[in-house]
Amino acid sequence: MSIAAELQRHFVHDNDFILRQIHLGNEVIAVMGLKTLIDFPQTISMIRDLIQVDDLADHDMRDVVVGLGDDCSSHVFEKLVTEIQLGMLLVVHENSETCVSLIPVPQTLSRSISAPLTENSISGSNSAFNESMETNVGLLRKYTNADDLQLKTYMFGSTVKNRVTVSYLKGAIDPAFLQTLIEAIESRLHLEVNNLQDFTKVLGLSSFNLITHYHTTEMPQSAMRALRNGRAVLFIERVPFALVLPSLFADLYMSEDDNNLTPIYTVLLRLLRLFGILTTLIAPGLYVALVSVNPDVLRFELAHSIAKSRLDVPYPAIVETLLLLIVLELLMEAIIRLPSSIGPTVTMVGGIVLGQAAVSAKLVSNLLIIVLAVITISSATVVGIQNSQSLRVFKYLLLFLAAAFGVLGLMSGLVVLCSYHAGFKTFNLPYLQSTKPKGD
Amino acid sequence: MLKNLQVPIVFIITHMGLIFFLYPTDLIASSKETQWVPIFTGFLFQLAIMAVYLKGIRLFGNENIIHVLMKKSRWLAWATLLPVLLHLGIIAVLTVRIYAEIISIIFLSNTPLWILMCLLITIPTYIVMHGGVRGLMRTGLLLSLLFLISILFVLAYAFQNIDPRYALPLLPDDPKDFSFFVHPSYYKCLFAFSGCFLFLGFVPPYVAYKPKTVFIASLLLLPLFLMAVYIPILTLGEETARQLEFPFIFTIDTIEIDWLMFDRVTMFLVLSLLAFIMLFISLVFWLLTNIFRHSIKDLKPKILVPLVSVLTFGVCLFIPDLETTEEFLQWETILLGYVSIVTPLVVLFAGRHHFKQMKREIK
Repeated sequence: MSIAAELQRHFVHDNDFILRQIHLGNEVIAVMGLKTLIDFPQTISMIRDLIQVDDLADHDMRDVVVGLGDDCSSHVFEKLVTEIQLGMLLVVHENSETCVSLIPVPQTLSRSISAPLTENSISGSNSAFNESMETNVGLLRKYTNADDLQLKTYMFGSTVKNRVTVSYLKGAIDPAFLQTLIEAIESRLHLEVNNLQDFTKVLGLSSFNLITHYHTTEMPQSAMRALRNGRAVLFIERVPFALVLPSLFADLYMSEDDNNLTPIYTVLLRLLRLFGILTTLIAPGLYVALVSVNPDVLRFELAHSIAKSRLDVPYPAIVETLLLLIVLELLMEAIIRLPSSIGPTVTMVGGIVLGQAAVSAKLVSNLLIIVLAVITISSATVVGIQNSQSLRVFKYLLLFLAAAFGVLGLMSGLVVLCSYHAGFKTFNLPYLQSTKPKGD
Repeated sequence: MLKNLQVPIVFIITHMGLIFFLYPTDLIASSKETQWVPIFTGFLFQLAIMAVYLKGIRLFGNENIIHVLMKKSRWLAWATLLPVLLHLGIIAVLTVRIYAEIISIIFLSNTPLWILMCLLITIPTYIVMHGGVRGLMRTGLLLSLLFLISILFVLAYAFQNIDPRYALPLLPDDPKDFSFFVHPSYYKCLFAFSGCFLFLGFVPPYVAYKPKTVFIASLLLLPLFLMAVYIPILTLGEETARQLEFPFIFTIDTIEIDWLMFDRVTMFLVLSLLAFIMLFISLVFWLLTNIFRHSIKDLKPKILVPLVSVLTFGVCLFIPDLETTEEFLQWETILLGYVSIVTPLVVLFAGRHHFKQMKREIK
């Protein structure tokens, strides 16, 4: 059976499989592919443009066909199927048993380059990575433009296949780290990679962490900076951001766009972010500690006014704080879920609940509303959405310790957090480093 | 991050944790007037033993004390390391016990002591288990970034109520001014000077540092040693300061800062110092487990560290009160003296021998 017929039989249940015969002079070639991935009319006219009938008199048809793309006549059948699934066009010349895979005019299936969705940039470039691997790698190349930029692409999975690209600057990256990374990837090519959890398994990293092993970024300029600092940047097909490996402490407060400001402002902004991070962590715990365990630390007037505002609140400070924090978390989650037309309603209602209403109903104290507002504002100063999630969790640790031990608990919590961050490692590279990762 | 500075920073902050609580009490108790003489004596003693110790360690190259001593002779290793092990064990217990008591006195009078001891043991155990000694050093770096500012702030305000005349007479003119040498309290306060220099010999291969930076760090400590004693004396007068259990902390309690929303700035100071003490305890735990693993039996840290902490906790529970602890501390000074004098000397001689041997091997 010919290759074309065999492939047609394989794809018999796939409605979008197309097989067309094209007559070129006396010769016939068969083209096939998936119409959902390939723009067929455009592709066929492209092939007709490529092969001039006049040339056929001078050249062998086989040579002409092979000149169109990659010769895959010697490939096994499964590999041809994979080519089609990946959106390639197969061109088969039956007479000479030649089969060629070529890049067709594709259907537009990914959005065009747009502004980042999870990060905001006011002093830097605004193009963001998206779901298409080609776009992402192209953007990275455009931003990096270095001789020693190296890219390695791997195909993962046996049934559901996906591509992962690893990029790094040969001169900048630590060779030991690169070797570990590549070995980890190459040893688990059979696993499926559809999301970050899958990929964590591939890399053999521990998944029960409160901070991530990779920093995710939508900004090509951040990815470029990471490459130049000797880190690896990875792309997973259909995942709309770059994974920067390993993640470092500096990712919490440094953004590449800061460098477009004068150095004084860069430093001040970063200090402000660190202050925001500390405030987010400490504020709820400090409230509980000062209200319920160590009121003596406060100035008498202040302690008095706080006590007065809590006079009618029927439960302990920890319950009060937890209650409002959970409402806040719910609000934050709800806004992500809801369509943008309904979102403002929730914000408004939430604003009322978390605002004066709860206070006038004597459910929470005035001060707590202020504390909550401070936390919400300051938690947004951290760089990167994943880091802000870590902060969201860490503040509860401090909150509970503060409820048990007061200010001492707060301090203990900070010590634990410091130790957690100090001991965290990715491929033997400590997390607690500034910009350039070095081995232990 | 700041790899070369990690060891000196940990050296400074662990000492800071030890300086401000018991040390002023003991030093004031041991001397009358011209307190700077005993302080300088203690400080010079620290410099001297550190000089000997670091000289020896430098001769080891990149090896640590245990390996070199074990290679030399097992008996010498045991004679040196066993007292160190014992000393560290006692220090761990006493530090946990004393600081739990201090926490109880200063801010958590209603919390049972054993819970506080539990906290003071659990967190250091976590620090050691999670990151090992490298993680511990990095934790020290983060802690110093977080807490040093508040300590410096409080120390800057500590001069608020001083009266310089209390420092007089400045020069010793009476042989009695040297009577601190025979006072047992003085030897107790030497703990602040020589309590944690030992770790310097055990961290190489794992963490590198330059001996010069450690000397600079110990010079930076001198003003703190002076302040811890002189601030209470200059604020309250010597006789009043002598009556107090923790004179420095009490003096800080008298600071009044109008624009601050907090009434007791002591809290900032004590909390920061306690963070440093937790680091000190974790350092002691690490030293204990490290020595144990390389000289007795190589158990997994996952088993050994919790074992050490549970043992420490158990022993702590048996100590009835602060007086008994102080009595223990007094007895411990003998061991402390032995360890701080003998270990550096042994290290120096072993180092010389090791160095010569290496040279011969290279030839």
